[in-house]
Amino acid sequence: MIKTCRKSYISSIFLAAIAAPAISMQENNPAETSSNANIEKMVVTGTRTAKLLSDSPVSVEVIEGATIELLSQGTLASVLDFIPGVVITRSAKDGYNIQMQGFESKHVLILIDNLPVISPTGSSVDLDQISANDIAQIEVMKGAASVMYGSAALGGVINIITKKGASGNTSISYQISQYIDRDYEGEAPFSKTVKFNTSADLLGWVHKVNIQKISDAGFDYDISSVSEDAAELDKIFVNYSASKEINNLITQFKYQYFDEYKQRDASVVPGQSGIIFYSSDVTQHQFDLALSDPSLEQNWHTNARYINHQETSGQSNSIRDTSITLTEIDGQKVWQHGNVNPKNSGESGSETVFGWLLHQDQLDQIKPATNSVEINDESRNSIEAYGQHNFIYNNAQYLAGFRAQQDSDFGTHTAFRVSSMLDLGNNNTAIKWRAGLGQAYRVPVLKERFYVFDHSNLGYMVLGNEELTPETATSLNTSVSLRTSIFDHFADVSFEVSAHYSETQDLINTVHNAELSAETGLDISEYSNIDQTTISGFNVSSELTLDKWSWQVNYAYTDSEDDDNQRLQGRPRHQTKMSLNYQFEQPTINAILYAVYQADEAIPSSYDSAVVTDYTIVKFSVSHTLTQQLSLRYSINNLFDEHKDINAVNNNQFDPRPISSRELVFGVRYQF
Amino acid sequence: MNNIFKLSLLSLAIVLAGCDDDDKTIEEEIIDDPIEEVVQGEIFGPFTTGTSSEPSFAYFDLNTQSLVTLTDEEAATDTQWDIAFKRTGVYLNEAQDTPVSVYFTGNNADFYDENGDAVVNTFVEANPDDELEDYTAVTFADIPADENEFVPDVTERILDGFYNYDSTTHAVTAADDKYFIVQSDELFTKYRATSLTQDGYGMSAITLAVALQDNTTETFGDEVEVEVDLTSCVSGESVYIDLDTQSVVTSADAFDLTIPCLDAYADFAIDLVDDATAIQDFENSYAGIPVESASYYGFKSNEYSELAFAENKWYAYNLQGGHKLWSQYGVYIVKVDTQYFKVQITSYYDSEGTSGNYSLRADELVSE
Repeated sequence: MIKTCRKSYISSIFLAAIAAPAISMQENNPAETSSNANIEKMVVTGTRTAKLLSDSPVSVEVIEGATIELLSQGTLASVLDFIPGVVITRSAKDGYNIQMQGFESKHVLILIDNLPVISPTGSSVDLDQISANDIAQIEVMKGAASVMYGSAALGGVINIITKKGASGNTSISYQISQYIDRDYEGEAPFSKTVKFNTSADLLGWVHKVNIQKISDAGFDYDISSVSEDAAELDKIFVNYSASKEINNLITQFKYQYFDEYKQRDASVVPGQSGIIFYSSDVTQHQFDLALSDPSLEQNWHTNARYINHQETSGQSNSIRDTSITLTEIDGQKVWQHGNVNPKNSGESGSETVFGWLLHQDQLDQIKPATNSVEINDESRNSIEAYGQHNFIYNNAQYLAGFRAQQDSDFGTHTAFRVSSMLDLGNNNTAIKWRAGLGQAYRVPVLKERFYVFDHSNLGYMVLGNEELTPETATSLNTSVSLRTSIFDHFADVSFEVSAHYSETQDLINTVHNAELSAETGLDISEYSNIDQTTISGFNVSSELTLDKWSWQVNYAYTDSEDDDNQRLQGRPRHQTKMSLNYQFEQPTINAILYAVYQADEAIPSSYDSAVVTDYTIVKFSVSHTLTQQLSLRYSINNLFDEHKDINAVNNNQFDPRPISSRELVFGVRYQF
Repeated sequence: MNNIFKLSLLSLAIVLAGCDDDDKTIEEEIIDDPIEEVVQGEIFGPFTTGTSSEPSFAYFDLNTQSLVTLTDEEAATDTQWDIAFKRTGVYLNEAQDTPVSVYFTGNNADFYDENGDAVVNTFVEANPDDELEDYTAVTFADIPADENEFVPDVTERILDGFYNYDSTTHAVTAADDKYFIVQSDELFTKYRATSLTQDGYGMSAITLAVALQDNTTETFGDEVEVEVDLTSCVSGESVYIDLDTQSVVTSADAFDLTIPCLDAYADFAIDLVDDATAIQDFENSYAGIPVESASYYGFKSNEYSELAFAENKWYAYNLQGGHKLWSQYGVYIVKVDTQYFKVQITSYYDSEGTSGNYSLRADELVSE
C-alpha cells in the first residue's frame, strides 16, 4: 500500500497505546525498515490485538488515512475499489456494495471500529452511506473470519478504524465536481461537498466534531428519455465524539447523525401521463460508548453501539417505510504471557484473547399506501463468546480460535479457525508464509425470514421463510510474501502470492415455490437454503517503493460455481489493479494514478449478449499543499469515460461497466 | 361602510348565481338537440381492482360505459355487466342468454417482432393519445362475418371427458383411453374409467383404474381397479373415492373424488375435492410427474374458466425490469347479444402508478 505515514494519524491515543509493544519490536527489525518505510503499519483486525502488519499471523491489507483522503472526500464507495481483489458494484437502490474473493456483499462483514453497521437492504451494507471522513485506516482481512467477528464474515472483514484523539486543528474543505459525459438542460450542474472538522480539549475531554455535506447532481445520459441514470442526492454526516483518559482508562462517546435523500425518475406510468420515480429518504442515528484500558496489565475494552435507521424508499407507486435498529455490546480481554516479541531462538510468548458479545436487531417494514405489513416488527437476539490463543516464537506464530453463538432463533452455532505464520527470511529479506483454515457462518437476516412482498397485482410474490438455517463456509487461505530492500536501501520491493479456496453450503436465495404457486396462481418465490458453491482463486501482487514513488500492481483470479457447475453471476474472473503514487516535499504534492481492469464476468442467462466483456477504469488524484493552511485537490474519476451503454438494457445486452461517466473534481481545504 | 359593500357584493353574487342556473336550464334545453355527436375514444377509468392482498372485480357495462356495483355472488347471475377486470385477468359475462364473446382485431402488429417478441421501445413509448388513431380506425366493417371468430369465456370441469356418448344410440360408455392425473398433498394419481354401467340418464356403476405415483422414481405404478357401486345412491348425497388408498370411502374419510348422486344412480359427473387439482392426459403422455416442476403442468381445480382474453393478452410484462405491465393497445371487438363494442385497454395504473387500476376505451360499433 501507499506509504503516507509521515503525517499519519495512527499515533492516536488508543492505537498508540495498544501498539506500543509492537512498535518497539518493529524498531529492532532491520528487514522491516528502509528509506521510506519510516513507520510500519499497525493492524488490529487479524487477531483483534494491535500488531505490526508484517507480524500479523493473519494476512491483512491496509489503506491508510492519507490515501483515503486522496481517493475520496465523499463516501467509502470511492475508496474500497482501491483494495486488490475487491469488486464494487452499484445496487438497484443507487447505493454501492462490495464483493471480495468471489463472495457477494452480504458475505463481507463491514465494521466500523470492530462493530457492525446497518445493512439497509437487509443484508448488504451500502458503502455510500459510510463517510470517508475522519478515517485512520481501513483494514481488510480476506477469508472466513466468523471466529473473531461472527455472522456474515464468509468472504472476509473490512474494518474501518476511525481516528482517535484530536489534532487540535479546525479545517474546512470545499469540493466541486462535474460529470462530463452527461446530458442536461441549462447550466451544467455541479456536485458539491463541504466538510468541517474541528477538535478541542475542554475540561479534560477531547471533543471532536466532523460535519460533511454532499450534494450530488446525479446524471442522465439522455434527458429526452424519462428515466434518469443516477439519482440526484443530498446527504449529511454529523459526527461528535468526546474522549478522556484517566489512569489508562479511556472513555469515548460518539454520536453520528446521517441523513440522505435521493431521487431519480424511473419511467412513465404505463398508459398514464404521470412519472414513476425512485426515492430514498434515510435518517440514521448511531451512538457508541467505549471503555478501554490498553495497558499491558489490563488490556481490555468494551464497546456498545446503538443504531436507529429510518428509511422511506422505493418506487413512487410502491413506497415502503422501514425501521431498523441494531444494538450490540461487546467486551474483550487480552492476556500476554512470556515474551510476545521474541527475537532470538528459544524465546517465546503467547497471547490469549477472550471476548463476548450481545446482539439484537429489529426490523419493521410496511407499505403505507395499502397499509400492508411486509415485516412485522421482528427481532433477533444472540449471545456470543470467542477465544483465541496465539503462540508466538521468534520465527513462527500459531493461532487457534473458537466462537460459539447462541441465537434466539437458530440455536447454537460454532466456528473454528487455525492460522499460522512462518518467518522464512533473514535480516535482509523478510519472507512470511501464512496459512489459515477457518469456518464461517451467516445467520439469516430478518428480511429473509419474515418478508412478505406482495405484488399479486403483477402476478408475483416474494416470501420469507422462517425455516431457514444459517449459511456456512469453510475456507482455506494461504500466502507467501517477500519484502526486501534493494540497491542499498534505495528501494523497497515486495511480492506476495496468495490463494484461497472456499466451500459454502446452505446459501440462501429466492427460489420458485411450485406448490404455493399452483395453489395461488401466482409466481411465488421463497427464500430457501439451496445453493452450494465453490469459490477459489489466487492473487499475485508486487510493490516497489522508492523515496518519492511507489508502484503497486495486483492480479486476482477468481472462479466460482454452484453445485450445478454454473458460474456465479456478477463476478469478474480476472481483475488487475495498478497504482502509482508520487509524493514530493517541496512543493508538497501527493498524487496517485490507479487503474482497475476487470474481465470475463459471467453473463446472466436473461441477456442475449454482452456489450463488452472487459474494461478498464482509470482514476487520477493529486493533492497540493500550498501553505500550511491551504491545500488543493484535483481528481479525474473514470479518465477514459468507460460507462454503461444506456441502450444496453433495451437491447437486452449485459454491460458490466459502471454507470458513472468521467468526473472532474476540484477541492480546496483550509486549516485554521 | 365596508360591511354594506360586502353585503352588496354577496347579494349580487347570489342573484347572479340564480341567473346562472336559469341560463343553464336554457342552455340545456338548447343543447337537447336531436343531432347527437358521437365522440369516440373517451377513456374510462381508472377502475380499481383492489389491492395485491385484497383483489376485487371491476364490472363494466359497455352499453352505459360505466361500472356496475355488484358483489361477486350477484355478478355470477347478473346480466347487466359485460366485461370485468381483476388483477391482470379480463372476464366476459357468461350469465347472459348469449355469453359475451370477443374477437381480437390484431391491429397492433408493430408491437411485436417477427418472432412474436415484444418490441420494447414500441411498448414503452406508446401512449393513449398516439394509439387513439388505431382505435378509431376500427369500424363496423371490421366485425368478422364468421361468428365463430368470437370466443366467449368458458367454464370447464377438469374431470369431464371420462365417458363417450353416442348421439345416435344415446349410449354412454367409459372412455377408457382418457386419463386424468390428480395432485393432492404432493401425491400424484393417474386414473381412467374402464367401465361404466348406464342407467337411463345416469350411471349405476363405474370402475376406475387408479395408479399411484412413486415420488422417488416419479413414475406411476400399476393400476388398481376401484369398483364404485352407485345403486345405493340417494339424491343430494355423494359417493366418495380416495385415490391414495384406491378405495371407496365415506365423507368422514379423506377423499379426492366425489360422484353426485341421484336416486338409485348417479349423474354422469365426477368432481374433484377443493384442495386437489388435476390435468387431463387424454393422450396418455405422462408416465410420471416431476414433483419439482409440477406447477408447470397446468394443474387446475374442479371448475376453471378459460378466459377468451387470455388468448391475446392485452399487456406485456416486465419489459424494462421493474415488473410493469404495458398495454399493447390492440383493439378487441366484444359481442354482447346483437351489439358489437370495440375495446382498447390503455393502462393498468392510476395516475400515481398504482397497479391494478384499469383504464379503457369502449364504444359501440354501428353500421354507417
